[in-house]
Amino acid sequence: MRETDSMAQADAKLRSIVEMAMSVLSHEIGCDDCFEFFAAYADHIRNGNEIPEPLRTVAEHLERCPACTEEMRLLVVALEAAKIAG
Amino acid sequence: MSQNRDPRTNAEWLSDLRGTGHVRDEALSELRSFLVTGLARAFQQSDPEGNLAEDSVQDALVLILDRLGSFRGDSKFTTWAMSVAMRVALSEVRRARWRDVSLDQMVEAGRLGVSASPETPASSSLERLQLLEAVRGAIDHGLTDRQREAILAELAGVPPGEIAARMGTNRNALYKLVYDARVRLKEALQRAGWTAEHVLDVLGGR
Ligand SMILES: [Zn+2]
Repeated sequence: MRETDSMAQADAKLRSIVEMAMSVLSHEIGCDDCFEFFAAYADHIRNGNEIPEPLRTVAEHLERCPACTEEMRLLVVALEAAKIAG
Repeated sequence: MSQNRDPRTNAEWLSDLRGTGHVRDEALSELRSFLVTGLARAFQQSDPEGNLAEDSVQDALVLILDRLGSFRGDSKFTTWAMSVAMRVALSEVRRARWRDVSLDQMVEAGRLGVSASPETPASSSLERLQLLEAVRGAIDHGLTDRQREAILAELAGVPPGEIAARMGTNRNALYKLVYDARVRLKEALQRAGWTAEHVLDVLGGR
């Protein structure tokens, strides 16, 4: 048993797992399915376009998946940098 | 480099990369430089020399050329190519970051411990303790061993690809495992009388 979390860590973990449980939806997509639409999603957010219906499940996935959120953020950073460089 | 020419259309990228000789070489060289520039910026903190970017793009170009047929055209070609390169680079970063951590350590790090802090927590109510107990009970008694391992490792902040590798599975199967665990936890909490609103109340909302 782990007894050494700081209060903030303990609180954050309890909150995370409860949110993971309570936010479960019947039509979720997984990380690999999400990746299939990464490029289309990145183009939409870079263009400032509204996210069309088929990509809403990607947005929902990003809401609860820190790994994919990090990847999407870095992808947009990379695309912006490469665009400026020509 | 031909930085002043008009950007290629998706169709031009595909036909140039499928072409031969000078046309293909130039397209490859432009794509490589585009990808390296992007990855170098994205990882400039952890990879100031740009080695990760160079190596990842090398591997990514092989994948990209191999998968040209799977590009659906629902994005710019260069965006799709960058997403492939980013996946290669980030997988490598995460592999290195978690290399020395075992599955047991990941699971242990995800366990819900009691705070060691002497300060009185803002939400140290009886209800918070009851919720903590309910969650722990559901994790310990309501999940299969694999579900428990998967969700606790995820709770510890381990990227899914790394958990999947340790558990001998793939990301989609891991996702299903964690999904089923979440459903079971939600049902257990609801059986114990917890609603989403009540839980947020106890945890101080968002
Ligand atoms: Zn994900």
